Amino acid sequence: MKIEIEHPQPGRVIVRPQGRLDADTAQGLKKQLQEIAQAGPESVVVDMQAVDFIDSSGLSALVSGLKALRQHGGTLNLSKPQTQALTALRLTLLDRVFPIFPSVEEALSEGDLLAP
Amino acid sequence: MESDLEAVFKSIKRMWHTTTGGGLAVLAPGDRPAQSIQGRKLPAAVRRALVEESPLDALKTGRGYWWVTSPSPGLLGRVQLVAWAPNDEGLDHLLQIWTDMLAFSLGEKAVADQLTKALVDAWDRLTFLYELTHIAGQVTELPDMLSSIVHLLAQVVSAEEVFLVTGDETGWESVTASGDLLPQPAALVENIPRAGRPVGLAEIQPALKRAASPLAQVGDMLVAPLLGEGNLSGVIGLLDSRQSCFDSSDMQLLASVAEQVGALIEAVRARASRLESQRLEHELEIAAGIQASLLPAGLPPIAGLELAAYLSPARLIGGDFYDVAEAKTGETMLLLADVAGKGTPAAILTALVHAIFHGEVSHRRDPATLLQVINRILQPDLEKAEAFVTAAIVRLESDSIGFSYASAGHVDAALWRNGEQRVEFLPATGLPLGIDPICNYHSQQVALDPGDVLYLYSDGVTEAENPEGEILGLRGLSDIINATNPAQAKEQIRVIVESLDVYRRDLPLRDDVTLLLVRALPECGVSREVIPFVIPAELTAVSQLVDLVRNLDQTLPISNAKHRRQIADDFALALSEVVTNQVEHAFQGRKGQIHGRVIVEVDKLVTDLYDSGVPFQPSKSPKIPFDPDDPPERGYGLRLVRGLLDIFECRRLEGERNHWHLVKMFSGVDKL
Repeated sequence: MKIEIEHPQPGRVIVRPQGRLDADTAQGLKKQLQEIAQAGPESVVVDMQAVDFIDSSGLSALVSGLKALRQHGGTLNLSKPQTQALTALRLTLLDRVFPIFPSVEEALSEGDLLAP
Repeated sequence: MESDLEAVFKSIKRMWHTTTGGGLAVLAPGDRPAQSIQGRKLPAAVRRALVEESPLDALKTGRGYWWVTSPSPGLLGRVQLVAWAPNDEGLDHLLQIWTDMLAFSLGEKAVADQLTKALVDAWDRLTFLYELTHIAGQVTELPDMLSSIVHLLAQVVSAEEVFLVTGDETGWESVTASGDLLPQPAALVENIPRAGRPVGLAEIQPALKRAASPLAQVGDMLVAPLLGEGNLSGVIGLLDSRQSCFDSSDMQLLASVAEQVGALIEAVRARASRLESQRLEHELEIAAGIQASLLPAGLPPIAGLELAAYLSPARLIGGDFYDVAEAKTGETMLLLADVAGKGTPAAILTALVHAIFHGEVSHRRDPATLLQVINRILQPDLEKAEAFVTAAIVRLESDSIGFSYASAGHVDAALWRNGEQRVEFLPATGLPLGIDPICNYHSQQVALDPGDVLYLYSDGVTEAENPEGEILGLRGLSDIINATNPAQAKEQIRVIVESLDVYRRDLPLRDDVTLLLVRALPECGVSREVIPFVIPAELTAVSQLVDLVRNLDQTLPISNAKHRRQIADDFALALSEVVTNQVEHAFQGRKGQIHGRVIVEVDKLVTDLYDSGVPFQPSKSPKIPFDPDDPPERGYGLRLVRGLLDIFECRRLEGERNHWHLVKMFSGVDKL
């Protein structure tokens, strides 16, 4: 799967996975988020706009990334999930775990407030 | 004397020019290196090689190649050849042979009184080698070429007989300059050392004596192996009744000739086999065209039944075919046959079976009688061709839904019993055609209930082999049929064929695959669409099923577009979870297939999945309340499946298989 990484400002990262996040592809995202976490405290926004399908393996990758970032004093917000992803997040109660924003900008500024 | 030398040198120059379009100079000691050859200036490296008396092999310059040969000990001291040519195809080889020849003739035979003869010999032999290089380009038939070679060789050597033996393990034949047959040519081939060099009489005589070959009694003999790409393709040699009449220059000549002739034979044979395979392919194309034209253009529409057929030859042409014809009494007669063997002979037998079937079907309506007649007519031809044919004939009844079946040694037909949801097999009712001229066949009556399906097929289906060497077998076919029903006949064929591809993985099709299905239409009433599928048990394949379900969106009987989308997405997500679980846990990295079907009903989506993995064991870990501050990293799959589906069941089937049953009702669409 294709993942774009953007550093708009120091300490902030936008991660843009594209396509499917399933058992076949989720490992890539998991590895990417863990590498970012290890690089230092970051406010990360995973922009879900281009993810057209996510299943439990994709959700696991996001949770694993969230835990790694928190451990290093960072945050993980989600922006613009499609309906399919929103359903998956709701059914697994993960919508109570991830702060979800309607735009990348809002997710970024909110991350700023939460950042240590 | 001087003029003889000049004549030889001149002839070499001329030959080089004709052969290569380049130029050549002979440098004897004391000669100052030329500044140019035919107007082409000698490169510095070439001049240096001449001064230092060192060889140079195919030095590439802007406009060609340069050679300087190793200095040869000649009559007047050391002689070097310097040459250039526009290209270097095999020329170094030719140049080396010429130099060697020149060296031997000028050196070893440098006895004053024989000098003139030696030079004439040298000239003859050089011309001979030159001629030899041109034979390949002119003669394409091997026997003509071999005959030219022995005659040419006989002109330049002083030997009573020149012979050449060629062939292969199945037999060796000789060609001689005299036209006489060489006794026991195989004894020579079998006893020649394969090192590539010629041997004299002393070396081969003991072996020839052991083989009781008359050749052991000759006065002198030289013989060299003909090698092409390491394979021994024959021998070439000289015979004489005088003792010790061949010397080292003859041996040198024979070595050069053997090397050239070995390569020539190899090239001519390669060309012949290429032409042969082209001819064969062309013939197969024609035969395939004939066979394809024998297949029925379509299958007739029959009330209450659905027919579908498929044929895929493994090579351009195989021995499988199917046919349909109308009996005099109006019933439809189906035939599926497998002629043992492939290629043109199989195509001819296929055409025969086709012709007899069509000829006889008009006045015989019993499948067993038809097989009996075909067997009786065909038996002499089949016996002559050492072939046999397996065939199944089915008569579709016109007064009821059912059929009459007879099989001449054909692989068991399969029968899906929709009421009992299981597969039965119909064994052969007699021997294959061509085994026994008076074989008795019998017919079997079978009634079809709605949803029942008859599968006629060739053994290319059940004998499909996976890379582990296991065949699909009747059980494998039965598993596929279990999963594809109750889909339409042509959909079932699509999935059976796909299943064979998945089963074989990367192995090529070894045998023809032919299928002919007769499906009793289910009773009208409940309208539903059934989409069977098969995927390899691999994570990369799961997305195929996700796409399949999400693309159903438009066809779901739900008026609200948003709801349609939602149902398709939800069901795709649940399916993705279940299939991922199958791949990761049921198969645990082993290879396998997952069969199943998606059924669109008026009020729900249903999917059944079948695998041959280990039994499903839901996690036994105690349920921990969900803590949003410390969410678990795994375990969302089952939660999703239960949240998304109305029914989710897994049961163990006999034959160590799992059956997964997934249902999503449309009514619950607004519950989220």
